[in-house]
Amino acid sequence: MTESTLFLIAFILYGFSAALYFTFLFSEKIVWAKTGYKIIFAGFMVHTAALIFRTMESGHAPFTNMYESLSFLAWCGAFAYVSVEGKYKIRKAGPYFILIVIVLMALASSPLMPKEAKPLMPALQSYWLWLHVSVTLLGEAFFAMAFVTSIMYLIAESRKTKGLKPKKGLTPERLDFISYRCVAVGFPLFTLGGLVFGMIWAYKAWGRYWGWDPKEVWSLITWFVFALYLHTRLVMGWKGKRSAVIAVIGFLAALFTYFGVNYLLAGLHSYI
Amino acid sequence: MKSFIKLFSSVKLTVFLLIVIILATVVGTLIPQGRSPEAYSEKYGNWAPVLMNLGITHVYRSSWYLSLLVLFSINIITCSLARIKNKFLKAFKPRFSTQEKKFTHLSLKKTFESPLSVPQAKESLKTILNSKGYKVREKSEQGNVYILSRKRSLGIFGSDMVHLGILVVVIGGFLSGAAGYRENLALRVKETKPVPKADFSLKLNRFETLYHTDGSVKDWKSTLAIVKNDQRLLTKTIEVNHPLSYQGYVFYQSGYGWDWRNPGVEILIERKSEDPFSESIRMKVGETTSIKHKNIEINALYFVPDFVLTEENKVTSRSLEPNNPAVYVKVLEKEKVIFSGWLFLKYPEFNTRDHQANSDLSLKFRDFKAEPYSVIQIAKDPGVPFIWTGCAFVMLGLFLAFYFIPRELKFMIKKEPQHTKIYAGGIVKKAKDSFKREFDLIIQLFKESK
Repeated sequence: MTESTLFLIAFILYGFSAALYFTFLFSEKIVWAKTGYKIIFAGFMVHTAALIFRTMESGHAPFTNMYESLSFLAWCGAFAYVSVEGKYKIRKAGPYFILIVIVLMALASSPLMPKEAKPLMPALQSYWLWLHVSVTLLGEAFFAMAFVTSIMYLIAESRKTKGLKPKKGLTPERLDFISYRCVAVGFPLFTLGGLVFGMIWAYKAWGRYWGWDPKEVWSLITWFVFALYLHTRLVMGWKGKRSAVIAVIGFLAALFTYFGVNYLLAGLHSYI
Repeated sequence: MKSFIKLFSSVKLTVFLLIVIILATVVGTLIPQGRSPEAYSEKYGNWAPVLMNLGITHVYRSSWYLSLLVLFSINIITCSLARIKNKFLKAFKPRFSTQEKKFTHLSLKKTFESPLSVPQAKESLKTILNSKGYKVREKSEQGNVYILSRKRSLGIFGSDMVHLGILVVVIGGFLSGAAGYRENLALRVKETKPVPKADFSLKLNRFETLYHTDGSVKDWKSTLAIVKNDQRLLTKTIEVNHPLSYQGYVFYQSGYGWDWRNPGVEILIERKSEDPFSESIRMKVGETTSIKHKNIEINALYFVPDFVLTEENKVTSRSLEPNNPAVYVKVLEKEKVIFSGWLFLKYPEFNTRDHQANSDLSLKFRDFKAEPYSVIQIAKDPGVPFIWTGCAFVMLGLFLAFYFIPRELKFMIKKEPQHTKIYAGGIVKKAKDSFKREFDLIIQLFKESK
């Protein structure tokens, strides 16, 4: 078994799981979702093994180039889904969220992503690489989860205003609540990993904790957007639609921090 | 003053400021920051002076951006101060009313009867609540007992902790901006240079570059000594990610290079026919040397570490790395040029011959020696301790705000003719599910108690 075989198996399992969840969506039979959950869990375990293999082969953290980073983000996504579904039974969100995981896996396996493990450049050789990247991406996975439930909320609400019959399963109130819970997990993780650990590592490696590098700035923007989400929601009582819109903007900012900055804005983080 | 407090203690202002700060911060990533005026004129034409005057070319150092941060900080301070007194009262001196509706109108509630007497029921409840970590307050009135029990009261200070942390970080940031400095110092091995703005010097004792098996750089290690009045105070080997700290100064491994001004070169010069000889010569670039017992002089004129020809056919160095070292050599015999051309260390087959009287003469560039130097970044930043303290507050505050949520349980134990009646209820704002589980468990434990 090699890392790439395990990665492929995980990819197939995720795809299979998404198919089961979609079947559940149309058939409304819960058994499909339950099987889907087992399969994504299996995929997650295989993916974990793939990451461990990768780490052993390369001798460094499994997120030092775009391929590794995407694969790891997909793994965080699978973890976020497995844990949130385990707690809140958000089966209806399953197919959409797993689709995001699949898109990440597909991007990772695209031939445009160089896959070979290269030796690390000096600045990346630090245990802060582990702490900074893993905690940040885990936080971002929960933001993605909040994004999916917020979009579902907005759709459910628009059905309501159009006078359509609400779909069975997750009520808009429940979606709104779960979306908030995901931000409540994602925000502290993102703050710790992205900003605090990032600053500590930057201080150790570059001699300054903050340098207005585009990636740093966009992390701060993401953080501000979710701060806005929390203040409007918890202090001003904005629930529902407006809250969901801010959560969506926040996720888009996080997405831009992760992808956009690398390709559109030049900076120190350009090695990932 | 009153209207000032009213304005700055409003969360609406916070929301407004957050939106403005977000937009301003985004603008700073869309327009390249801190470039030269010429670069802006070229890119934005007539708009360049406008952008520069508005500070859009250096958003994060502009007075209006910093003013926004100051306004935001004032907003945070006023908001927190306006609310903190009530929070303290709520946490440490909670209102404890014995009005009946305060026990019956709760979001989480249950009413049941118990065979226990009022004092027995009270004792039993207190034991259970204490075991669950609740702090219990009680009052008795007309034979009835009222219990107010709370835990995790500190949780309500979570947001204040976060805000305090942010303020400390902002203070640290301003301090760094105002009083921090950083500078690069290039040191050759055995070289000592004074540290700017300090009363000691820095000496580089040893410097080495480590490579991965594929030839890429793995790490640089510089052994540094802090020297004061010719005395060595401290020695430490630094590498990337492992700086040296001394009296508030931090020394980072930031780069490396070679001194290419006059490296040493080793050249093999041979002639097979007519007065044959073979000689390996070591010399410095810029020097002339002669071969013993022969009337031959060699002159190493130029050296480039990474030879490349420009479009105009001019020689230049592509980088400062020794990727393609080349030396330009002139050989004279009896003051007549017999050879001149470029010699390549890695590609001798490409050696050029501008002038060669005797085709039998062969030259080979065998080795070079340049003095490496290490670039050390010196930073002194008085804001740093504030940043870490602030971050610690923010994280602790976030934990308190999200995962240390205050819980309050109230009980009214009423004596009724045949039995004791208990009104139980709870107040919780967040994380209702787990609170409800605890509430149910406490009631179940109580019912099982004797």
